[in-house]
Amino acid sequence: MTDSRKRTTLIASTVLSLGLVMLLGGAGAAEAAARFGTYCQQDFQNGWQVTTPYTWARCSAFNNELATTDFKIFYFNLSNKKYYLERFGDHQPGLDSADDVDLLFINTHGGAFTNPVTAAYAMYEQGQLAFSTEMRLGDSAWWGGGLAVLATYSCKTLKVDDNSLVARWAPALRGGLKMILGSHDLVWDSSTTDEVGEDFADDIQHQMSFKSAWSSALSDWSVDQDVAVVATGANAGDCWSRMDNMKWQNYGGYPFLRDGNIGYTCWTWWDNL
Amino acid sequence: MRTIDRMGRMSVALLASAATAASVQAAPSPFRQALQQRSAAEAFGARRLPALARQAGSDAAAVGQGLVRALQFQGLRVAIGVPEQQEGPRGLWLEAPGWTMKVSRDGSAVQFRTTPPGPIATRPAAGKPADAEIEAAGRSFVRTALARSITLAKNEELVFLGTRFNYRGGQAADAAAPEAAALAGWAAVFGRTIDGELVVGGGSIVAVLFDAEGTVEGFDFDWPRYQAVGAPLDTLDVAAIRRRAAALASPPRADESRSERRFECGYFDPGGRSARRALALVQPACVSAVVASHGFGPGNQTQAGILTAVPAARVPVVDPKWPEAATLCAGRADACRVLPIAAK
Repeated sequence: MTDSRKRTTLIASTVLSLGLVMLLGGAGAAEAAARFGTYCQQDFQNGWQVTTPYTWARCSAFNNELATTDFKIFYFNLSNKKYYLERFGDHQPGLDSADDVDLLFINTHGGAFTNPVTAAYAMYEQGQLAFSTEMRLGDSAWWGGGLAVLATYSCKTLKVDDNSLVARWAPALRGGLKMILGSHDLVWDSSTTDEVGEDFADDIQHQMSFKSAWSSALSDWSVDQDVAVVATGANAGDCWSRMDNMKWQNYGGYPFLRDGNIGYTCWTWWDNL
Repeated sequence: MRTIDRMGRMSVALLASAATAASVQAAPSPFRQALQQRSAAEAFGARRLPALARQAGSDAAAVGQGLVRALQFQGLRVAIGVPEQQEGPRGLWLEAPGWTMKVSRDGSAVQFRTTPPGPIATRPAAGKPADAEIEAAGRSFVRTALARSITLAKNEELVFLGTRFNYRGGQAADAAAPEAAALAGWAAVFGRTIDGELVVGGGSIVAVLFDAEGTVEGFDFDWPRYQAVGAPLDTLDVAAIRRRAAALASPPRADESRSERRFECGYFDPGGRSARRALALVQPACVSAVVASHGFGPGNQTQAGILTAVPAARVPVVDPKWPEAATLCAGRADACRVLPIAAK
């Protein structure tokens, strides 16, 4: 999609969604159509990261499916999006930033850095990365809330085997972000995985929990997808309840937990789905 | 013909000398280990293989209703009541309290998930059941609940591809480190061989999901019937397939490293979950899974997994829905053939 087409989509969708949000008094009313956005990157400036040929197809199919029931606020590539993802730019007057949607789907290269400890997402611009430890998601939308669910089709960013998951993600979660869907190791780009986004959208539309929808959508039991999901809670029981039961139809009923209200972070993962 | 039986024993002694191009994954099944070794050494067990066509199954509603009846006697943790049905462009959804089922339009692919009430049980990660135990439980479920869907032709075999585990971990806000991981469930995964060749790409898969107490909590399958079409296709040797794979890949940058995780040859079928993906024919191919890593100093790198399905017939059949074949065939009239397949 060209930038001008994306911008047209953005404006039209924003008008629609703003009207809805005003009617509801804020996003998150159960069963109401919700707002989602998409940031994807298939090829990179000067080829600085390897091209993943099925990214556009994966993201477009996600958009097309979820837009049948919900409001697509934006679909952008990852050019100049570091600022929009990190803490100083996570709400924009144009409502085109991470905190301006309820669900954000990202597809790009990822990494779990150890020096310093952070999760990294590759941007379009050569050498540029967005870092989880520079994010604070969930608290900067004009209505007081923000991003509820971050879904990233990227490698490694939810790495679990070095005991550093909380260190990598606590800064982003402290804003109230309710759930992160991603991978603890590898996810694959191929013609056999270009429907991951569409399947995920289809599954959450049909009352599956985010956790189950993410694992079911990514798996084809052949390509070895490493799937992980992270949630927060006031305590362990609350965290697992949110993990197991939160879905697209009820996520608004789960409060944003911010800063000291987060008593526990929980995660689940599958190898080689 | 050199074949692999379902225990992974090869009919010829080539394992000892096989140079494995693909690094071995964590605990693949004996069958899959043998397949990877054979693929690296000689690609296929036969030099000529027929192309196959996926046959339409029963209609989605009949498949769904049959499975709902069968599941009522499987001792699941949720009651299988009368579901609501919703037909969409991608298939049929059956939904009832505690479970969902998605059936592809042609009835060949099904996803079933339960959500029992209450907390999910776990067990210590060290308490994993043995692979053989999980395989046996999976086969038992396939033989009973899925018997009408998972059928085999005389030249086909259900093969065990391995186990997959689901773990849970957590960390209190005032804790310095996570609690010990717990096991929340596992899955038994099966594939299909046709005349000894595995169907790769996800198009012939059965997965049975169990909770941590060993009760079935879901399943997936994509299980069409196949029919041979036209004259057999000659397969390439490994060296020629590797050259073709290299031609399909972009060259790595100087600051990028690449490593191959897996190289498996068989019939390539990416599955029938949607008409958009379904191929006209199922043809010989080798699937190469490569990880590209880009370094940012010690301990820091980004990664991407790239999976390529390399056409392995000497002259494959043109299929616009198979991107690698479309690339291979583009602008080269003699590189590929069209249907109907004549001897060449």
